[in-house]
Amino acid sequence: MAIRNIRKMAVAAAAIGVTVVLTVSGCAPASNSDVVIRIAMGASGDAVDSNFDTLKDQYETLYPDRKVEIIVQEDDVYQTTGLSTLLSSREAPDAYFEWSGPRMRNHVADGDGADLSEYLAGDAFAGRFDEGAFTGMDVDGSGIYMVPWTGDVTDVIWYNKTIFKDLGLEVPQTWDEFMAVCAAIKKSGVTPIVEGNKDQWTVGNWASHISSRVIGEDVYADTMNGDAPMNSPAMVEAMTYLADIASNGYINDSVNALPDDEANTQFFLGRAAMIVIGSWLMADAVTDAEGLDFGYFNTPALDGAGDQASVLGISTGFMVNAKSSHIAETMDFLALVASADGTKLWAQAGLAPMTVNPFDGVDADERTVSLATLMSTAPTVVAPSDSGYNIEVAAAFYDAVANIIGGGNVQDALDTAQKRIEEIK
Amino acid sequence: MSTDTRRRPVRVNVRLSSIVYHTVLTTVSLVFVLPLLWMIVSSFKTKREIFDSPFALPKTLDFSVWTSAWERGDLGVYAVNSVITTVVSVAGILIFGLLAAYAFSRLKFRFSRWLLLPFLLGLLLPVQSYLTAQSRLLDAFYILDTRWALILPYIGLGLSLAVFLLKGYLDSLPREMFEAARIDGAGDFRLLAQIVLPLMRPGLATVATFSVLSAWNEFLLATLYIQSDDLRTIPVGLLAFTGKYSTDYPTLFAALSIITIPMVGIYVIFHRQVINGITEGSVH
Amino acid sequence: MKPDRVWTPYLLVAPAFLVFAFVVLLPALLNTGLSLVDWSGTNQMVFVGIDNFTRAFRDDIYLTAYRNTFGYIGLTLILEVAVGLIMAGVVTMPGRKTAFYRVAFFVPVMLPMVVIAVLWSFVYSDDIGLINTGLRGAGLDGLAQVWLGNPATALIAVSVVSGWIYAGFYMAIFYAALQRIPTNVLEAAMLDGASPWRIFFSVKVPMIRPMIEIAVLLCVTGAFQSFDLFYVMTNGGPDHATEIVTTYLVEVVFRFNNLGYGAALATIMTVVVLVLGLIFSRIRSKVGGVDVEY
Repeated sequence: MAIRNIRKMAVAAAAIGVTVVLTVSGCAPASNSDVVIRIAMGASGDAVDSNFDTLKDQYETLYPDRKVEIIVQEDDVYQTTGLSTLLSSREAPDAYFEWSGPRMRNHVADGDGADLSEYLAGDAFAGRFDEGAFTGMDVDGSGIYMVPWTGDVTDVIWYNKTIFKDLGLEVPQTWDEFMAVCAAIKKSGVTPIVEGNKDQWTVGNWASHISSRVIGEDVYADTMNGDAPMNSPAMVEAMTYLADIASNGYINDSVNALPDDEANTQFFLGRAAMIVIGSWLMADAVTDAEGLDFGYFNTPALDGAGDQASVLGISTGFMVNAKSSHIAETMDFLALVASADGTKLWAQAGLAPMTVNPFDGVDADERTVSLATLMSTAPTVVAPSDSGYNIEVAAAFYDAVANIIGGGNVQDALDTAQKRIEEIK
Repeated sequence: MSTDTRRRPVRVNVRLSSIVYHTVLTTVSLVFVLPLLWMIVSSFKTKREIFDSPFALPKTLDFSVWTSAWERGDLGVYAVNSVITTVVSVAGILIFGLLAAYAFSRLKFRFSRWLLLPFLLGLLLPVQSYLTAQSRLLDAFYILDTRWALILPYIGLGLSLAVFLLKGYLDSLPREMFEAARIDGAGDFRLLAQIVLPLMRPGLATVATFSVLSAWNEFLLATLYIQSDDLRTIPVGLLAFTGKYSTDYPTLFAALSIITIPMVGIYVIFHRQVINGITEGSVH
Repeated sequence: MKPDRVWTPYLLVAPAFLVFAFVVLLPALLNTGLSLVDWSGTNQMVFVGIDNFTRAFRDDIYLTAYRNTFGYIGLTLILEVAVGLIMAGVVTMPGRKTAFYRVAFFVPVMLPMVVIAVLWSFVYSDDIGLINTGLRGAGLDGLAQVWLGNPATALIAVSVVSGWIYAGFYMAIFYAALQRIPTNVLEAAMLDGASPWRIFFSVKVPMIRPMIEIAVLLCVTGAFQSFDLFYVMTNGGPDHATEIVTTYLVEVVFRFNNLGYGAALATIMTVVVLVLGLIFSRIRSKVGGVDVEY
């Protein structure tokens, strides 16, 4: 009796088990013959996301036996844990968003980046890019490992034109004028600058720009690679500019607690007169600015060894996984991203595409257009320390910057950073 | 009656202290509930209203922001994924945990101490300390980015506590009961089915409650091991949603309310079971 | 008791042990091995001996992370366990209807961490936040500040949120334990004319001591395992003021791709937690005398 019961139970359990396994394993794969290409990226706003859906539909109509899967992760997750987990998994994406420069080169060194020069020389990409678009996308001068996408100016100073007009303020040309503008705004009871430095890269990028201006681009590159001291007198001088902003109360008290997107919101709502952030603010402004009248200016000239008209910027693009078994099919998709139609989509979404004549026949915002010009005509383009150089050095530097903008002592903060950098070596 | 004289002043006292008592407790309750109510109310306001008058009531009750949040957020998909992952994990923890706890508690066998020890260590080990190796291992077995990538770790992580609690509970049952049944010729599987299972309900309820709570809200592994959007669970789906709509507060609040209200509702209905569940097995 | 067949116990233990070994035991062992190499996850591994460990002991951030973790433990023992105990005491006072309060106190335990982070970022917000608005309304402008952005208050601010979440959880544990105290014990105390508070502290609390010990253990080990709350609220900032061991570990491994060093940090943490566990059980068996089964 008992034994029979137990057998029954066992059979039932086994049946349940099988059902569970089937349910849990989830969606049956699409038809086996379909080629599926997977493209990974961080989220960059609704407009951009829906453009990728449009291109996906185009692609699947053009190539009925292929499917595209777009993997969009929360931006910060993507850049830290997300992409590295994706790439080390077996279901690694065929193509993925990345910045040019060292981050790209690391992927190549890890065997995750394919040389695309042959494809880029093909018909699909013919005439789509100027030679200059590929800067920073090679390894030691050979190969091209990215399909260029956008060129981002990583920091300019955005300002609320209405507030400036009401106070009779002009766009400052020098740092002293800039300080005077801040003082006037503060006196009127408005926060001069709002920054969301919770994740440390917003003020960190600006500090990269300021230090490159003061210590010169070459020393800057050495410093951010850990080959020159972070606590040199010139660096102290550079960071004193930021310390002045903090000590004068020209920046929001919440600077180190506020997420970057909330800082954007505060600027859009007119709760602060200026915000220092990259060209991608335009993409948010499309949906969030609510009729705000705003413009931008580059960080004003400082005293120093660097080019005082330099622009902080970096190009982005899509890398193709060297381990992908569908490289050609993936390139077909990226050809759509770089096509004239694709370019139009990006320009309308507030991005600055790297393709030729990006704003032809597009009703693009004039600020987007002029930012793209600023980038392409800049005498010197400097990369931010977190996307251009050693990531651990950047982390130490950004810690120091957050400390300084929070009111800390410049020398102490840089000494701490230097101590940490020596440990990394 | 002599007791009357003593009671009268006490009664006045009781009424007064009762008012104080309930006022204090209601205030404290508000601390726990108010942020949630604020979020729900704010979802009906515009972004500018939220910033300009954060504590004012909304002008209109427009549910369209809720429907649009539901559609844009794929919340239905995330909810289904969370339910599947949680149910399968908890079932695994309960079944495997009970079988093992019975053996450890009631049966004499070689290496039993050595087999039990790792589970106790598991109670103390933080998952972050072996995360890297775990993800490589899951990947090597083609498990990453499937539901199993969450279910197996959730079972493994839950088993320590399950074995620990259930064994304790079984240890406290009288030995004679088992021995009598054994003399009657009952095998171990029959003992499990006919004696242990019915008696272990409260203990299993405890383990189930703990496991449901931790699996349902688990965040780190769910972020790292699941990349396909159609397999994501609620905590990660919500994070992706906050990333996408981080400044669209009304939509964000609507989405968070949609996820939260049913959970609170379920809890209000089952609160007795949940609270009893937490302690039944652990205190006796 | 003897098993009915020799292999029965192994069969019973097998499923649990295999799953556990696969996802916990084996990874933990592999991780210890990783701590002796320099590895980015994809490049060639280089054996470096104990270099990763010596670096860890010179790593100020790592040491800060321990200080913060212990600070967090101290704060949560008060804000979660002690507050939970007092709340349980209050809701078990005789003759009160308290179901509503018990439900309300437990609500935060159910909420996803993302919801909690969003809610509290508005509570702590420097200009429109609940706390600062309240302080300014009361004319205490000087006390208003950026709670999560000030290194002096950030850890306390996060701990308060932690307390807000888990106090109800510990209340629930203690509530059920208090309900189980035999009524005749309490009646005897009441007849002696003891006040409710006196009864609570000198009769009830000692009687549920085993449960309190479990709660302390859960709280301490839980603090070492906590991650979500810190990750979504401050991600270790400002200036590492809320950096705890797990957030730093995740940064080293996933942001710096330094898997070997991360493994060493993890191994050290494992040893610390195990030692704490041992000390805890020693203290309990020495001082306790009350043998609880669990």
